Amino acid sequence: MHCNVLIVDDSPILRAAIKKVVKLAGVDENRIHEAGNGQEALDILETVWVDLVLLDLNMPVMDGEQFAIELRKREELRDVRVVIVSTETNRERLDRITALGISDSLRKPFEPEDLCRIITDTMGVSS
Amino acid sequence: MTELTPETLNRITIEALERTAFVLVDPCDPGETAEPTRHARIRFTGPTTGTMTVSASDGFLSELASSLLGVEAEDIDIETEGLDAIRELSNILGGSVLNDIGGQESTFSLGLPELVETDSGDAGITATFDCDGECLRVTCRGASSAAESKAA
Repeated sequence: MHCNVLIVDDSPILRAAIKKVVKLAGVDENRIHEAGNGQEALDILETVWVDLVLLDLNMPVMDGEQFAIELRKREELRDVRVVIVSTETNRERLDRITALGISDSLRKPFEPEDLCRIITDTMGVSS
Repeated sequence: MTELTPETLNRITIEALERTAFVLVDPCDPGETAEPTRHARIRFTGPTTGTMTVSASDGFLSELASSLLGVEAEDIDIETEGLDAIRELSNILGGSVLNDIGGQESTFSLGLPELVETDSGDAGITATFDCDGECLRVTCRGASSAAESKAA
């Protein structure tokens, strides 16, 4: 799959687990990027074109909601697809984030197959 | 809001470990396994405030981290990968419990997981598990006042 994916999660071990699934979905390893919080993700987006962001919400420094707001403010990044991968349960917060144009969401804990399916669906690739 | 029960906490923990890391655990009585030595805690606020504490032995954390990373357990560095695994497990279990007790219209908010030196030992809903002789203990405080009073 010829797309660049950015995994944003403050847990290195979860990023590694998600990266395995992204590779299973057919994304080349050199097209997978990682960030430990929203600010790091924005820094990466300044230098690398990313098609899909897999975004955790509860993170230090800059959380996922703030990241999504900043992303949508930037003309050149408005079309980047974002999938939430988080433990978030707060309905009001989820509604706020969905209103920012989120493609899909997946609650942890998730089955690897579910994440695989969401990646292929979001990127418009038949699995 | 639904009250958390020990049975629900058992189910949530077993499902989370199976789904996230393909790690299988069996519920057991406290004292049947080695005493856990590592602890992570996450706070929650909302209709009630409380904490979720996850305690585990190093052997369990090796197993969990190795499953998540797809490497051998002996290649796991407990001080980095093992502790990251227990922090993330507390995050996942905290979110799963809040989803269960808060339902579709949940107003709970979850904090960030942190490592703590010891578990407070205060009364709460506790589930203990055996994983090939290694120990995992999960304690939720504040999610079910009635059941916690009985436990105390």
